[in-house]
Amino acid sequence: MTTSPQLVTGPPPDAPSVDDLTLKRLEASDTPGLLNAMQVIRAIEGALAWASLEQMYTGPLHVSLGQEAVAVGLMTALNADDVVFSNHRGHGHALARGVPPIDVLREILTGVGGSMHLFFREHGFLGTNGIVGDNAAIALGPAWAAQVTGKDTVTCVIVGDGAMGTGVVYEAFNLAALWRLPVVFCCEHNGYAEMTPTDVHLATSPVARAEAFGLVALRADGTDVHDVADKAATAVAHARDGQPAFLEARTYRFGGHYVGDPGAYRAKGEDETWRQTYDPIETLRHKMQMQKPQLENVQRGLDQRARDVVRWLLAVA
Amino acid sequence: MPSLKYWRAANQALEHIMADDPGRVLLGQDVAVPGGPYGITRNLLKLFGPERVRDTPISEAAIMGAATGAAMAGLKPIVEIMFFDFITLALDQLVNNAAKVRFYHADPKPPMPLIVHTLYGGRAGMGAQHSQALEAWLAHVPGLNVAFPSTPGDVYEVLRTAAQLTDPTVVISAISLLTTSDNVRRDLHAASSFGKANFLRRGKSATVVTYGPAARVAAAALQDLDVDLIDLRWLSPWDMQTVLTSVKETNKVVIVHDAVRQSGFGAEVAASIAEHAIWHLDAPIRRVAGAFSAIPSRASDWEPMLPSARQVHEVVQGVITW
Repeated sequence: MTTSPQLVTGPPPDAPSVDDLTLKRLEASDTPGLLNAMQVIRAIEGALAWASLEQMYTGPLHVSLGQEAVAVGLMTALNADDVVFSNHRGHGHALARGVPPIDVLREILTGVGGSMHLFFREHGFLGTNGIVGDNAAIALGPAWAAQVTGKDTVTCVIVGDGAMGTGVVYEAFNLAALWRLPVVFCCEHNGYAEMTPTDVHLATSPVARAEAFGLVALRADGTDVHDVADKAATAVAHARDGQPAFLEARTYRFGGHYVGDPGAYRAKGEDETWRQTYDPIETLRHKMQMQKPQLENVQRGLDQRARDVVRWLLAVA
Repeated sequence: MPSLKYWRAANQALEHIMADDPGRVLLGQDVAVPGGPYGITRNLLKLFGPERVRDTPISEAAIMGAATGAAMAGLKPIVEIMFFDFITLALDQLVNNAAKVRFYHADPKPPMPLIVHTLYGGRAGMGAQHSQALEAWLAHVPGLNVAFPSTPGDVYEVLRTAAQLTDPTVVISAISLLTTSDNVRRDLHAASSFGKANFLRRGKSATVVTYGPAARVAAAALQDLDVDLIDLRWLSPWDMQTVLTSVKETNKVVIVHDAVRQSGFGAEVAASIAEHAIWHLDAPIRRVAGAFSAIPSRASDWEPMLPSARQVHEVVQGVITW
């Protein structure tokens, strides 16, 4: 691991408080709570990106800047004893699920698994995964276990539009529909499969495919946390009732596939346009009629706190 | 000690495992209503019901993934992969997920009580896509246990042992052995034999290390020779100690398996002997193994490609008289 000079001089800084970054249980009706959750995810992932660009941390980081409304909206629909599977871009999912930020960051920065192998069993978070599409099949397992043992828990798995190119996703769709498993597939459609735009890698829409397999197929505006929460609640209710569901949430990935990806494959100005047009935090600020400086002020405070935590974790590791 | 055919011993082991543990579930193609193409899962649906015994679509990847997830959620799945060759379709889930879940966790690591049973079709004229011995691929993966038993007694013991392990375990059975008979001791299912080899014969002139259907070929071939014939049974972990102890006494060694010689499991055995006992050897390490070729369908074509009794006898005799 590369260490920045400021980390090796002097004693480690004191443990910073993580109170500001700790998310309360998310409720769809608690709009300020939803805004806070999205801002916290952005602050923590921004701090991770910062640490990576400053070469305080090496290793791949796939951040979900711009996609926070999907993680936050989706988790409002799940109960504490439900099960969540994520993908390689899963920090936000773990945070929105309620895993303490310090635990998420510690595992990302210093854990055996790292960013793509986050497991928090006590939160029913059974893993990010570095193999695109794989968790769609693994998610069938806890859903099947619930069916066998007569529990009414739901398993929710988040895949990206890139995963729609993998065969195992369709094997999983078929098994879920065939066995009427209590599972929700959420497709976080962010416009890119790694570095390849959707129109180069998909012939038909994800939701149309899910429908063809007999899943309850829904669409949400992935930039609107309320719409995601609303549709997710419907999807989860169907799944709990033995009707597996699929929710496609259209969202927009800010930046590249990984931190440090210069994104040379993107059209000039596209990223800037997306940031100005599709920012879920801005969308919610407008709805809440909050002043921009007020929001930015809060974000700056969270950003600083997240950087303090990252710096501290790297120093004491 | 009843005498059972191999397929029946495997079937009995699965039945006893599922009877002992209500968390055990079974899934795979044709396992429930059909009872498996060779009867290995016969009667299990009737005994344990459709919640626990399920026929699946031809979706090896999703089956292995679902089983991995089910194990993470507290079930204890048994996955039947109809032919060993088809494990290629499930390898991503097995290697990248099932074998690694425990690695990510701090102690106490959650168990991954997954058993995979599959059938090796070599020596049965099944053609190039149903005849491959790919066990070295699996033995190369940290986090997996691998067994390739050769007798009804061993498959019973290996499966009962696998049911007590915390890492995922792949058990390979040879189609060519399914109708062979042997006495099965049903009390021998303690995990104490995990990773342990078995002597098929004791002798002083050479050590012959084998497993799977080649063990039967070697046993028939070497009746007139004074050799230690070691059936490994387990390939990961494998019983290096027993092999080394024998080699240090006989000073000669021959390795016999069906899998192709190049990068086959015998290469691992040979390298380990070279590393740990080379000064005890009075002759080169020899391997009798499958030809580096796909396996043809017709018996007259595949027979020369797999170890034969005559070939095994010749090579072992040659080493003894070196």
